[in-house]
Amino acid sequence: MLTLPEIGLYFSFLMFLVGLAGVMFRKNILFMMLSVEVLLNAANLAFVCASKLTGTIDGQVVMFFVMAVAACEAAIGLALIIALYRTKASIEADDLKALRG
Amino acid sequence: MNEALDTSLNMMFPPAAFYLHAAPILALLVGGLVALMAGVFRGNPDRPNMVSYQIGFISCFPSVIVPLILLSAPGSFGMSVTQPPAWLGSGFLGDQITQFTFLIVGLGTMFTLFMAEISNAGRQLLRPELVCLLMFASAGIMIMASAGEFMAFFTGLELMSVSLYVLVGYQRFDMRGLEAAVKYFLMGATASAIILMGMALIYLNIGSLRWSDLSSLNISLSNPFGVIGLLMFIVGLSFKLGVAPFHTWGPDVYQGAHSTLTGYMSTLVKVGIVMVVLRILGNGFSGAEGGAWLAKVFWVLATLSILVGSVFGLVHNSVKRMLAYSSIANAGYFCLAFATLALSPTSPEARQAVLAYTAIYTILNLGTFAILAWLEDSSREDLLKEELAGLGKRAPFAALCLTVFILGLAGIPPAAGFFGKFMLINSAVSVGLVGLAIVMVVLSCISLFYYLSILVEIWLKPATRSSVNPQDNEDARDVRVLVGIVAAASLVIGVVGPRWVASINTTFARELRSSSGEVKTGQAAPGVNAPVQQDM
Repeated sequence: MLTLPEIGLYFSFLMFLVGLAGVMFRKNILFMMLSVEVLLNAANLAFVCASKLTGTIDGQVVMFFVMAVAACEAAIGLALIIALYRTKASIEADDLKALRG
Repeated sequence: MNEALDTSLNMMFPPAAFYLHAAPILALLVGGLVALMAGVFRGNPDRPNMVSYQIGFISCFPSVIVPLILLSAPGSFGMSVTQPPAWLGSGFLGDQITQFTFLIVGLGTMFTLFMAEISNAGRQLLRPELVCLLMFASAGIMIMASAGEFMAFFTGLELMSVSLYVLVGYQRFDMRGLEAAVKYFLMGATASAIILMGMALIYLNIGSLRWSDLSSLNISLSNPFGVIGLLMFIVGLSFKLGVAPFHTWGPDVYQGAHSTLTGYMSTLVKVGIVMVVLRILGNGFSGAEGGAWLAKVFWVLATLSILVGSVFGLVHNSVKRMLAYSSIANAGYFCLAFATLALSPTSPEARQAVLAYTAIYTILNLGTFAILAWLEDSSREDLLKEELAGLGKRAPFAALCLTVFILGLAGIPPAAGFFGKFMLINSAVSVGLVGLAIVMVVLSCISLFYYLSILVEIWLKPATRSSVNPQDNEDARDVRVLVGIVAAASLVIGVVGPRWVASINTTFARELRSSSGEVKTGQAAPGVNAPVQQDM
């Protein structure tokens, strides 16, 4: 019988896979960024569950730090996407081809 | 009751020695904020601002002065020589590796700022935000390199990465810079998430975030969570370092960013990451066949990076892209050192080889990109290989300096790179990685081909109409002096560097935890110059 933290842990693995697939297969940069947020939240969930399973508090502290960091990253990412949209009027990953060898 | 209070007060208000050791970071953070404020109060914020440049430049001084003091007088300020102290619950390690990194990062930041100031195109960049972001990125690298546990490391990593995403896309009306920034952001953020997930699995195994507790992580293959966690951690760091299967962002980002900033990105960032890997591997892991498979992983990464760096570098025409592949190949050499460390974690030779190679690589690459920025200044955006034709006649000094740097990157004896590679391969052979060492030598012979193809363009081809023609003006004189100094330094450090690095105490700092009332052993009596020992 799985306990709740264990279920959470396995769920976080699932979330991580979903997020990773999103980053790799999505073509829209906005959705890729959302997938990165899913990845970060999967890691958060894993940290909290691991904190419960190991009986230490460190993991929950990490979660708060990561939430703050994720907010910073989202702010920077959205700013970059807006700047990109203004100059190019597209946020499709396939349109990013100015840099080729 | 008072003991617990004392401990927590110590955590909140660390002793004065901490502020001395951490002065470089604090100065950079404060300096960055002051430089930003200077832009608010003085003139048009969209114009280059010399005041904030000067503030930024001055705030780099502590990161040069403090390490010089602490490295030259290791026993001063009541510090133990054998067991350097750690503060903030292992969040800051006060050892000599930290100070060594501070010195490199401080000098590199000053160099980047100075290069931006004396070139025409660079000066247009010098708005207050650039100074602020550079200071913060350097502070992030320093926090990362001095961290002894995951939380401080991750904060530093993100401080650095987020600043760099903005710096790459700093010319926000330049399509290529913006594209590079978006690519860098997506790759970097994914890498951070992978590092985080890996650490979550490691934390699940050992219940601690400290690097020093990683030695209790069982990485034998019967413990899948530990193995996968460690692998994800390594994959994430490889992304950030630009190691081969995860290098795809590298050339694009290096090409898209301004050359002055590319030099910064390709060197100092790697210094920080390399120090983190050094600290992680340097504690060793537990488990029967532990280090063996880890060394094989680095074996594969090293071979792939050098192969990709040497072969793909040949097919590109843009000089910046070629140098990007050269830095991928150099990341491969770092992986060689990591393989050595995985096999013998506490070997001082391996640690010293890593330190020496980071210093040498930083100088060579910063110098190369400084010359590129200078040449681009008087021509156009992206320098092609053919445009270097005849540079030896038109600007002999620039050509000579570029030759010194490229020979160094290729690893030809008189230049610095040779000694760095020699130390790396020497330490690899001494732990039995003979096969990998042979592969390295063969592949570096292949990579000679494209390094030499640049030199052939410079010295042997006649100038054509499209070749770059550096202007001879007042700016060029400053650049020439600075680049000349760096070229001379890269020659000198090839001779002095290894010996200097050998004098550095590579013992990791360790927290003195008094949980059961006893202070951990290894603390020398104050004032006693005990022989240097390696920690376990």
